[in-house]
Amino acid sequence: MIRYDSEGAAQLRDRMLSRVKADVAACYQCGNCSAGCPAAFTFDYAPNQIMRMLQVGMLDEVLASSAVQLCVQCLTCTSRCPRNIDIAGIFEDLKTVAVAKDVRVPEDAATFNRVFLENVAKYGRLTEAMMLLRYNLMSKHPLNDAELGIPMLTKGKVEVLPKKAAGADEVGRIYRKSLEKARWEG
Amino acid sequence: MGRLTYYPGCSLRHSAAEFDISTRLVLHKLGVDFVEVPDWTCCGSSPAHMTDHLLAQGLAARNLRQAATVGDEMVAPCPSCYQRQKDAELEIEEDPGFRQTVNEVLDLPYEGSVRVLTLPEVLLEKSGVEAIRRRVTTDLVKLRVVPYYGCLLGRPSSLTGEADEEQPTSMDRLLEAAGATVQRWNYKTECCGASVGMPKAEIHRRLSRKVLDQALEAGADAVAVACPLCHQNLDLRQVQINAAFGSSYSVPILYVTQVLGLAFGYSDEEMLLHKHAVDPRPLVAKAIKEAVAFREEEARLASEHEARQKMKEAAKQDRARRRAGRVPSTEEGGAAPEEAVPATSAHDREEEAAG
Repeated sequence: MIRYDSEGAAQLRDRMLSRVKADVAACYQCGNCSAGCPAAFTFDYAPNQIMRMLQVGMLDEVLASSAVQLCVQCLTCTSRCPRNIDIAGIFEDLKTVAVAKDVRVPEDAATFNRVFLENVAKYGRLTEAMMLLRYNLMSKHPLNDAELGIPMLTKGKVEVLPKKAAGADEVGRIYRKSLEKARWEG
Repeated sequence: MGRLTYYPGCSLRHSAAEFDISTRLVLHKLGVDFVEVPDWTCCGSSPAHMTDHLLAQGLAARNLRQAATVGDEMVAPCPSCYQRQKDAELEIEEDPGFRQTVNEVLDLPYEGSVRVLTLPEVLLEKSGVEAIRRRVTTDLVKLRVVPYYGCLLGRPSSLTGEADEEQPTSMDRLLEAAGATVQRWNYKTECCGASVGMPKAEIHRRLSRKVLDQALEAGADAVAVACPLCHQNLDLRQVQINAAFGSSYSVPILYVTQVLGLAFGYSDEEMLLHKHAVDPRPLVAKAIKEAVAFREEEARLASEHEARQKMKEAAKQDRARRRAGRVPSTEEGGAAPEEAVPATSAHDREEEAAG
């Protein structure tokens, strides 16, 4: 059964107004965002449907959607919206809400983000090869991109022995402090 | 203070080392002075801003603070790094309260105001099209390229300074100044699928294939990029696109700074062309050779044209003298260099007689 959470919708709208400076209520369903979206062919809901769902308060469906996870942040929707709504900004913020609320999300994008950030929090600068290997293990696709290993090695495109950057400890602290503050209250 | 700082970012250290080296050499050649941001760290793009806003701005603000110790401007060649740091710059400048919030997660507060610039912005503002043109020593007129801006060099225009989000022009101007032939196309700002390239391969395969397809359709031999992720998706992953669609693309992908560097006379080795998965060296060598032949042919046609003009001029003078009523003199007509002149003169005489 669909739950229309109007109170939650109002709360989220206020958050978007202050954080993203975008008003979901301004959307009049022209569909320009969905027409221009290059990744929508993989989404469960098109961007304009997500906007409508936010207006009526289908928040659980939105946060658990593949659309939010698979948005490529190319900003095409934002640049073409006739109502000047920062739709990509809303999608970005929805991802962060899903993290803060610890929502179970589909697809591997969130896993990728976590592995990437944990790597950065440890080394200060991204050590690409280590991150890729760990992501493959975590996402249970151990041979993902394996065919790129040889060209990357022979072309000198990977760092074989990763080192900690000078500011790594501070980066680790920024990571932990921010996520501590982000935890969703209420 | 007053110095330009350079933020390479993680990709430029390894997977896009050729972008880093070519950018440094080009800036050096153009006399743009810069110093690397001391002890810079990852800007967090793009996972940080999709995980937590404060985390994203905190990681970017740390780099702004590091840059502020040696300068007041920062260039980030990677558009993704640029966007994160520009976004943090603007939000912190506009909202003192937010600056305080960010400073709470940093070890040392960021109190400065560093202006973040894109690489095309730096090249056009601090050097300019004329200065680039003056330094060109290798003719690239036979290198037909399309400028591929991707998502983040043009959008949003409030951040990037481009006048038109759908038709940015900064790379066009740089490539034209370098002497390359820039083909028109409609895919300048289409997405290559980078940010979920690993978690959702099918998005990348479809989008990047379209870019390659449209580049060839536009008559280009190569795609010029200014983003390490666009490069990775179009170059390193071209083999995956071919495997997914049974296609046989072999399109060299060059960084815009490599094109500039080649035009300035740097060698293939100096521009690290051997690091690319699709080897651009045969294409570059062919283009340079064709340009030499093309210029020779152009010079030959120009000298022929000049000779014809001289003949016509001589014939005209000859006619003018005769119209003035002077006796036609073969001694004076001796100035005419070719036998075509007497023929024309004879023809004129007939016409005069008929008139």
